[in-house]
Amino acid sequence: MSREKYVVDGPLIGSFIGEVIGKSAEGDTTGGISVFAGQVRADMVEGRIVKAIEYSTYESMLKEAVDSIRETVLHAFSDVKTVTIIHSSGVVAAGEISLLVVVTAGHRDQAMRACTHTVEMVKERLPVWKKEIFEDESHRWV
Amino acid sequence: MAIKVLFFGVLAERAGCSERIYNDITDTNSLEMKVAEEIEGLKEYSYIISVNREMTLENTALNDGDEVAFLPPFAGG
Repeated sequence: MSREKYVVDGPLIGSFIGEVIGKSAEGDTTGGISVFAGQVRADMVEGRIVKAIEYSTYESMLKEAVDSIRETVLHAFSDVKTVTIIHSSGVVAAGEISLLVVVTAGHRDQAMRACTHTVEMVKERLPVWKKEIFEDESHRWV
Repeated sequence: MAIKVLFFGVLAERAGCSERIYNDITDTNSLEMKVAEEIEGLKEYSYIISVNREMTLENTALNDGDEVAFLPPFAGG
């Protein structure tokens, strides 16, 4: 059995995302799979353009936070089957993906609502910090 | 008695490291005072302290081997 991944070093690439979605889709009682992928934007901040974000995480606390969020969502949404949350650590360039949330349910309604709920909880509860790196190599803590 | 102290985000940058060991510190208030001597302007930053991955909002006794973290506001997602 493969170990669950909570954190990936660097961006979440397409083939990895596809693999995670495919694994979540296993089983014939799932009718809906809702996916959120968070991507780094090339924001303009005070005249400087973001070229990348460097993420740092408190990994042991993050695992506990992910497990807690999953437990909360499974408890709150009776039709939800699985909740997957994976966050990047390290440098992720603008245009690359740094967060993946995949929620499966028997039906689309709870899949989509639970996915939104999960993303909001991730933003509030995951011990992750980000440093915006600008094109001129300066940086700013978000 | 040794305590492992972790720094994250901007505080790791200000501390110049992500981890330090402190000896003979018995509670989080004393630890904060000690860390404030080493990180200039610590009080100007927002952070919460956790002990063994549990957030604390008040002075907490520390034991040998505890892991304390200085956590700036989360910014994940």
